[in-house]
Amino acid sequence: MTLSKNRIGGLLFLLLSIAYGYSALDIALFPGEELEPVSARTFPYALAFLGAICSFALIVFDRGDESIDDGMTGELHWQLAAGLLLLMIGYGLALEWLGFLIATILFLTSGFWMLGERRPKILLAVAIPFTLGFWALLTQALDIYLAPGLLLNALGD
Amino acid sequence: MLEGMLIGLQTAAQPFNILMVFIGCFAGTFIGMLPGLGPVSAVALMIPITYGLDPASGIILMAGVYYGAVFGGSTSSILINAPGCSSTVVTAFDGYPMARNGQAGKALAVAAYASFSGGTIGAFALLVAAPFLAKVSLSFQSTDYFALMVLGLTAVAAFSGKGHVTKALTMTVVGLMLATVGTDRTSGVERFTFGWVDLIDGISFLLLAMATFALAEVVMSVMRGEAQNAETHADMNQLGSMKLRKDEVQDIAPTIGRSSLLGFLIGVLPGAGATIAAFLAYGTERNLAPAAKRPLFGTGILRGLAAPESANNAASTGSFVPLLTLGIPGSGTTAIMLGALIAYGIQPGPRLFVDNPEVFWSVIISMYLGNIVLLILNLPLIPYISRLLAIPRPILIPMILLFSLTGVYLVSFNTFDIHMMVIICVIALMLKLLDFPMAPMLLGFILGGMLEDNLRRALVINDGSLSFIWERPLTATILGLALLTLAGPPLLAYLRRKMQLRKGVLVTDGE
Repeated sequence: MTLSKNRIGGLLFLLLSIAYGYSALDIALFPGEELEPVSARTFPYALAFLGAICSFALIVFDRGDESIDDGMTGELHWQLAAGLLLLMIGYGLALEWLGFLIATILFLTSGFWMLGERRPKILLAVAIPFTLGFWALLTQALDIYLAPGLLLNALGD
Repeated sequence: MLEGMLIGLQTAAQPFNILMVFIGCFAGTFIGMLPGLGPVSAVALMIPITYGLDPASGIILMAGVYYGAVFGGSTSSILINAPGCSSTVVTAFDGYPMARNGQAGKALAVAAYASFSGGTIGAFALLVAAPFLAKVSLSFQSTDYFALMVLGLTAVAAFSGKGHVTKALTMTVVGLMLATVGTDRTSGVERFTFGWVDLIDGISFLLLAMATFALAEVVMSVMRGEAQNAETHADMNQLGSMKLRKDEVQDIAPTIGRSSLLGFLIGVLPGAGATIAAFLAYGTERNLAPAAKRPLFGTGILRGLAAPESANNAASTGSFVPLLTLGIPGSGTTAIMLGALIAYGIQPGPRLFVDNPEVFWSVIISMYLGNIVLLILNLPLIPYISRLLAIPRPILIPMILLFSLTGVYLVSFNTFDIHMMVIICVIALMLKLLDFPMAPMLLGFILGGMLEDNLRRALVINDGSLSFIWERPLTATILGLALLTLAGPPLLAYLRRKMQLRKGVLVTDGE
């Protein structure tokens, strides 16, 4: 039995279904509700069952004609993708602590830089006016309130 | 009905509402063109704006943005092979090769004419079908709604899995599972929140859609190195002629007619939307084409472009039928509109036709206006709007990521959502590498809540018995259809294999 994409996916989803079904046991019920024909647990139980059947089918009825390498061969830029994901996490944190303007300028310049744009002039000449414009559109034209960062708030106090 | 149409015409023809159609179409085209941002995000971005308008104008604006975005999405599909939304993925199959052959202008023109025709045919069909269906659906019970949604989900799983029905079905179940996270709508207890306050309201649909489609698509393209490859760009300065020859028009006219009708019918199905319509229309055209022409599909053939374009626009219109008549969204975008309508205090469903005829009819009439606006406004402007796509990828990609992140953040103003998006994006990336389709998951998620509500109602009415499945003819018929869509393709494949085997035996016998 070789490990194919279907089998890996099937195994993952089998685990997910079991975990899902198991945590469905924790759903609170009102007193006496366990005697009712339907409760908040009914649908999750059915889904866990369906999920298990589907993933079981993926594992068992796999023809094994596609190997794990299909579509994964060729050079994948793992590091760059991981970098972008980390950058997005960083943006979430910066948005909370530094506020929209600084966070967005930092996000854009680092993003441009990671993807290969290294000229400092371009980095700033695009990121700053774009951020300011976007900020003006949101706060002035659309009247959306953007909270200043927690750090700036703390400094202001 | 005539009276209603007059009310609708009166409402839609107000200068302010016509302005809304213009603004909507233009903004929609612009947003839809940005790769990664599709109609869902475009319509979602409009929600805060529509709160200041009256319901009819608000929904007209959103409808304008919707079909503007579908149209804009096809532009980026054709020019840079980066579909703005999933429904224009198929457009890129033949549109992008045409652009690479120096026929970008022609491809855009075909897309515009096909979209216009599809939208027009769709709008007429909506005009006829919606009031009729609204009357019929008054007699629908929860069991029928349940069956309809099951049909929608199985149809999506059967068509979007590219032959891997089990994978698509698994993803549908995952979508349904995700929909159960949060406070249970019937009893009010928390489910699968694991004590996290941010999960009490459940996972936001917008967040899930943005993370699995916008973010994951963009990061995937970076991972595959497509983003850094400058050659994927079509040269914007060489759009070529936009004129079509007479024989070309004759060639695509029947395709447009067929695909529009097919698209509308698919769009009407709850759960199935423009994406499936586009895929099906493309597949149908390829199957209908003479064997000699079949290999040409995918190399830049006009029919291959006209089919998905007319189908996705007709389906966008068609997806308003279940929204306006049953209150079930036919696609992710109409799901967001459902939310907006409810925020206005209007409950879409069979009663909408009776209670708010001006909303019901003005949407339908403005659909048609929107199609005309798209044609006269966008086609001449495309060479200018498409300059936007000439922005280098290292600049464009962080901007798209930013739009996706802020699109979600500006709805909730909660940075937890951004982290959640990244987590979902990582999971989506892994699943994409394992070839699991995302669309069934998203539709399972949209319909999950309503599916559960109706199933529970049906079970309570029937005292916990599942007998309603076979006792009510309408429910049984719809569920039968659902079973057929699932079992049909594998059964056909099996029969075909058997036939071939028998043929093979005959041939060896003859030797």
